[in-house]
Amino acid sequence: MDHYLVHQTRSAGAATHAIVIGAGDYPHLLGGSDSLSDHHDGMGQLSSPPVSARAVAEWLINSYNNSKKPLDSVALLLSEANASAFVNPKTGFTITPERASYSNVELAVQDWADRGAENPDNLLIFYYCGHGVSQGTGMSLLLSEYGNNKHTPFNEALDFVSFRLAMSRNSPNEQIYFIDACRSSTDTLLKSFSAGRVPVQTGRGEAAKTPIYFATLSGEDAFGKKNQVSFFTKALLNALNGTGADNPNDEWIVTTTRLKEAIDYEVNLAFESGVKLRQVPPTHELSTFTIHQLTSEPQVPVIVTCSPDTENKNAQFTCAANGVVKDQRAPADEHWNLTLEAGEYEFQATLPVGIREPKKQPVQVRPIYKRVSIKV
Amino acid sequence: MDSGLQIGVEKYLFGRDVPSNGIIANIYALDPDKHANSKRDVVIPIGFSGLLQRVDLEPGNYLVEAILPSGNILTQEAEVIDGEWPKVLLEAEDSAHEWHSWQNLMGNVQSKSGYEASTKDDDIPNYDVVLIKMPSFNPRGAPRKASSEWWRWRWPYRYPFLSSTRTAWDRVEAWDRVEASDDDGGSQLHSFVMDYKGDLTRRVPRWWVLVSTDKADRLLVAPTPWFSFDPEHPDREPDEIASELLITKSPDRSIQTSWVIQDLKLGTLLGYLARGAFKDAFKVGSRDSALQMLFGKYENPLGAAAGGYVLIGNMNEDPEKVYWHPWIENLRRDFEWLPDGAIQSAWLRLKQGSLEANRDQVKKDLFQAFDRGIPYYSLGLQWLADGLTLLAVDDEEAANRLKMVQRVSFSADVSSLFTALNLRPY
Repeated sequence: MDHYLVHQTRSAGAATHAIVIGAGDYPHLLGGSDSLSDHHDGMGQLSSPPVSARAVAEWLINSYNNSKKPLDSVALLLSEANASAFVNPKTGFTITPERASYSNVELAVQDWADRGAENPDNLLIFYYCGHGVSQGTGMSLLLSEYGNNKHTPFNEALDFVSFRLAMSRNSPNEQIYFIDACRSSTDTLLKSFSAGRVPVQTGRGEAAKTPIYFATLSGEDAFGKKNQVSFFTKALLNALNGTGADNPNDEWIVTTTRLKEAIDYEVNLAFESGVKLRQVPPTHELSTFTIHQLTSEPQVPVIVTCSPDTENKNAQFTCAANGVVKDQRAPADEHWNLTLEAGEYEFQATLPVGIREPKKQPVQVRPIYKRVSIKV
Repeated sequence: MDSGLQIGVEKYLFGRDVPSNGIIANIYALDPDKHANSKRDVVIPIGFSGLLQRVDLEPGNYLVEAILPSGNILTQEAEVIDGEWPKVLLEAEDSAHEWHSWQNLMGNVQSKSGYEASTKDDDIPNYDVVLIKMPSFNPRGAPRKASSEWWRWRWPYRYPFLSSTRTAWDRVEAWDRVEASDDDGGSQLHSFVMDYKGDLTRRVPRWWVLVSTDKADRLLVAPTPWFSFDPEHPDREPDEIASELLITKSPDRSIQTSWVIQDLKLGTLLGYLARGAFKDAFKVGSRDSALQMLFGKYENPLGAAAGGYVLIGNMNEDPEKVYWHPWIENLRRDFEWLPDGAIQSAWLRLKQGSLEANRDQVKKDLFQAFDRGIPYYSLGLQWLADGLTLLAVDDEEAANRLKMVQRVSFSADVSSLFTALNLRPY
């Protein structure tokens, strides 16, 4: 098995090939273990990207389901201060992922692209989490050794726009890009007029479908708490696990467009709560195709509240399914947030004035979210 | 079938309603084994007059979901009974001010509660705003050389209205300070109507808006003139619609801007397009053949350009549908002042076949777009840079133009729907 791979199953027909990159340890940025680059531009060490990348790789191996394009391979590259093993959750195969330096990423991307090109009906998935810098239409993904050469700092960066353009002229016909990069602009990029290197040649084929999903929250809010999965990756995994699901033919599936709607909904909630948005390039197109078929009922976020919500502090909430209590919450001066499988539930609020219920029971819970309002 | 729902979204939109080309909705059948009765991608009205769209549905229980251009999602359950048409009016959140309402619908500014919480301590003076008009012809009467825009804006401090050494070219430009039509401590709104009466197929002046603080300058392509069209009254003179610019002020004097056009046919389409929701934009634009009328009447070339981006961005959904391909060619051919048509013409080819099979024509279109100046839409700037990047691998002429485009595009706020350049970024 290719030494960048943490999972491989050799499918006979069309298949899915993923590459997952998490860059968190940057020796030449602030707080790094090596000489500080003149081009650090205020950027330092990140704890979230390796955690987020591991979560995505584990999700792909454990949960990804696409009957027309089953998962064939997952390549994983990480840069973390203390490199640790990755245990394949399905096979138990243990490997310490290769470091997310440009030289490794270049080879891993080329292998990934070659695997994808074997069948035009394959699906390629590219996921990156780490520092990214953008100026206008240019965008660089900074790999772990960024800044090791003061004359050519972007030699350790991937020019994402050119890379995606080059890939879009290569087989296969369906490619998805997830870019969870945290920084929006840097003077270094503007001055250098180079956004990095491109590991693949522009193909001679017709345009592939290449939807791109960018993390759009700015600043620290994008990466949330230390050593935890980032906001965008959490929203992505939530969407794949259910908030982005729809059942047009009874089966729950996640399509590219529904995935975007689910992620946008979470971003809008964050925006409304005061988180600033960052600039990201516009997308060329958003083709609709199926990414994932759920094998169980989708997980749906549910918000339960009294109306008016000032009564929440007096309300004990109960959620039941077919008369069996599934969850409860003691009085608290906030909404009750819980996650439920799609289906029918009964909700109650027990207040000093008595028991109150929603206007209609049972309540139907289905993606993207459900808000249950109980009039008091 | 004589049953269904009457559906709409209730939101105050500065006294206007969007009766037909409004909001995308999905209607999910909730009863077991009846999922086939669901209806997706229905277009429903939005406004404050209680406008509703009738949607035929089998009796049963349904969940109605409206997806706003902001990304916010509104839901409500309803029961359909045979022979009845119950109303479902989904309530969107209010904005902090009436003049925020359209911007809030598009996701450019928070709703009332969030905005008031985040700006309660702000009392920031208004930013300086200057409207720049570049006429169609230079001082000697020759056509303006639009390609000069690519180098002109590379020197951010060359503001003729501040300079004592104005050139002849500068003297034919108009630089006018403009006051906000509405403002508060956290934001200010400017409304632009150019009262343009000329022939839209000829050269049209270009308007720019310069927003400045002591820390930053941002130059915006003004999306004007923007004309309404009314398919029900094709003989009526088109009205010029105001292009509204919201400036979000910040204590650190950085600049955020967003445009909204209260176009009842295309306003929400622009919102979906800005978010990259091409399918939703296409569905809204297809209602009542709005896109077809847009290209047919030629009364709103800037709107037609938005329609072109929607059609090309959505073409993978149904590659067999080619009826609109000539529309893009017409946009390129007939509106020399609008670079976006030539960019779209190039990408229509790039999306249909290999680069090699289309190289000559793609190159011709992209070079023509370059010569026509900076695109009105950020998507155009991105597509121009991307197209030249593809060509530049083995084409020196393309590489040279790409360098010029990148110098400008690296300064762009590409998440803005219309081209916005950070001349002196904070």
